[in-house]
Amino acid sequence: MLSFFIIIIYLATGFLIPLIGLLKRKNSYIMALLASSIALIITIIAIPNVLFQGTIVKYMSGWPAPFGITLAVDSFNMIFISLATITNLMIVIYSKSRIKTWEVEYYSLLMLLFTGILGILHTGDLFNMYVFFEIMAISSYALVSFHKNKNALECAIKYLILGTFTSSFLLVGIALIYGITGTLTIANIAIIIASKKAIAVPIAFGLIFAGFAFKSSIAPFHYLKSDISQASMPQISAILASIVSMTAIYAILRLYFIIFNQIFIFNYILIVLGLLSMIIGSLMALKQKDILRMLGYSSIAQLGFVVLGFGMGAFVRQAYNAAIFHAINTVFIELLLFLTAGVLILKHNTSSLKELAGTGNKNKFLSIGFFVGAIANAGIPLTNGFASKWLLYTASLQINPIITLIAIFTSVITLAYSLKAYVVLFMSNTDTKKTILDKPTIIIITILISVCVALGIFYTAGLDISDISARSLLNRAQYIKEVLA
Amino acid sequence: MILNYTQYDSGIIALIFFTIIAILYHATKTKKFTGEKTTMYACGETVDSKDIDLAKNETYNTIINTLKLDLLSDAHSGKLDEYLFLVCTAAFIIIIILVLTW
Repeated sequence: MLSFFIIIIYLATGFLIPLIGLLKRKNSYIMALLASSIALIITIIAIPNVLFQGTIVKYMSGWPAPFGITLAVDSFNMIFISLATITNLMIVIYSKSRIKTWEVEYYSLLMLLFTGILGILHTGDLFNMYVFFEIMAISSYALVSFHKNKNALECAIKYLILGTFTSSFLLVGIALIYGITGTLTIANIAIIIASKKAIAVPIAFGLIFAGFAFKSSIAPFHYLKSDISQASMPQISAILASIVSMTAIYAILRLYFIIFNQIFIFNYILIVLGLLSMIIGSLMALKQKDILRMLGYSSIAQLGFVVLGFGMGAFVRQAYNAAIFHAINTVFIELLLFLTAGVLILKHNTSSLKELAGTGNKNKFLSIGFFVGAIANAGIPLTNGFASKWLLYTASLQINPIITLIAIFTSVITLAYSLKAYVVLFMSNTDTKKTILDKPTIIIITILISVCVALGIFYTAGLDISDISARSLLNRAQYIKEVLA
Repeated sequence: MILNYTQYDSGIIALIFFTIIAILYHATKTKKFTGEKTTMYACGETVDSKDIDLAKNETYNTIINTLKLDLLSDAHSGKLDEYLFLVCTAAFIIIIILVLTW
C-alpha cells in the first residue's frame, strides 16, 4: 500500500521544484534529494509487505476494478520499483556537483521521469500505463537535450519524433484491445481475451510490443540508443540505459504474461531478438571511438541477455531467474560504467576516447570503479555479471548449444572493448592533472562497486530474490484474482 | 542437473582466480617502468611506442574487417528517415509473424 505514495511524492516534487526554485534555485537539489530519500525509505518498508502479503492492490478513488484505475504491486514489479528508487537517489546525488545552471528545470524533469517510471511499474490499467509511458518519454526527450549543445538538441528532436511515432503504435494497440474487450484493467482484459480468437489480438500485441521495444532499445528498435548515449549527459545516459530500458521490458513482460500468454511464438521472438541485440550491441561497441557510444551499444548487448533469458524461460524455468537476476545486475553495472566514465567526460567536456586517453591514470579509485564495471559487464568471475551470465549459459545449453556459443562469443567481445576502454582511459600516459572527486561521487561509486562484487560472491541471495520475483510473474491466476477481488 | 551451480563451485573459481592474480602480481612487481624506453620490440619490428595507441580504431581492425562490421555501421547512419523505415519494418515483420502463427 505504502509504495503507491512514491508516485505522488515524485509527481508533487516535480511540480513543487519550479515553485520553490523561484525563491532559491539551490533549493531544487535539496527538494529532489529529500523526495528521493523518502521514496527509497518507503520502498524499503514496503518490500516485506509485498513479500509476505503477495499482490497488494489499491483502487484509486475507491472505484473497484474494472471500473476505476487499479495499482497493483507484487514481487515482480517490487524488484524494479526498488531499482528505480535506488537509481533515482544515486543520480540526484551524483548530479549535485555537475548541474550548476538550470538546476530547477533539471531536477523537476528528473522527478517527472521517475514519476513515469514508477507509474508504469505500479499500474494495473492499460491506458494509465500509456499515460505514465508518455510522462516518462517526454521527460526523457527534454533531459536528453540538457547537454545544451547542437548534438544534444539534434538527438533530442530525433528521439522526440521517433519516440512519438512508436508511442502511437502503443496507443493504437491499446485502442484495439479496448475495442475487443471493452475494458482497460489488465486483469479484466486477461479474462475476456482468453475466450476471444480475434485476429486483432496478435496485431494489438505486436503494436504494443513495438512501442515498448523502442523505449527499451531491443534490436532492431535500438537505432537511436547510441546517439542518445553520446549526446546526453552521462548520468542521463545511465538512466536511459538502465532503469528506463528495464521498465519497458517490465511492461512487455507484464502484459505478455497476464494478457497474451497464449501467443507461444513470442518466446521464440524474444530469443531471436535477444541474440540479435547481443550480437549487434557487442560488435558495434567494438568499433566505437567514443566511450559513451561504446557504453550505449554495450547496454543493448546486456539487454539482449535479459531478453534472451525471458525467451528461454518457457523451455527452462531457471532462465527466468537468470534473466531477472541479470536485469538487476545490468542496472548496477550500467550505472557504475556510465557514472565513472562520466566523471572524466564532464571534467574534460568530451567523450572521445582519443581525447580522454590517460585522463584517469592518476585516479586509482575511478580506475577500480571502471575496471569492476568492465569485468562485470563481460561476466568475469567474482562479479555479479558472471553469476547471472553463467546461469544463462547453462540454461541455454539445455535448449541449443549454438545459443551458448553466441552468448560466450558476445561476452568475449564485451571483454575486448571494455578492456580497450579501460586501458585507454586509465593506463595511457598523459600529463593531465588528477581528477578530484567530491565525496558524494565517491560514496555512490563505492556503493556500486560493492554491489557488483557482493552480488557476484553472495549470488545466492540475488538468485533467491529473482526466484520469488519469477514466481510472481508466472502466477497469472493469482494476479488476476487479487486485482479483481 | 546442469544448473546445480553451488557456493562450492564459486569458491573454487574464486580460489583459481585469486591464485592467477597473485602469480601475475608476484611475477611483475619487481619490474618498474622507468619511462625512458621509447621503442618496443614486436616480432622483429621496432615500433615507436607513440604509434601504439589503443584509442585508435586499429586495435581491433582485423576483427572489424573480417566480420565486415562496416556493413553493420552503414545501417546506423543517424538518418531519421532510415530509422523510421527500419523501425516500421521491424514492427511489421513481428506483427506478421504473430498473426500467421495465431
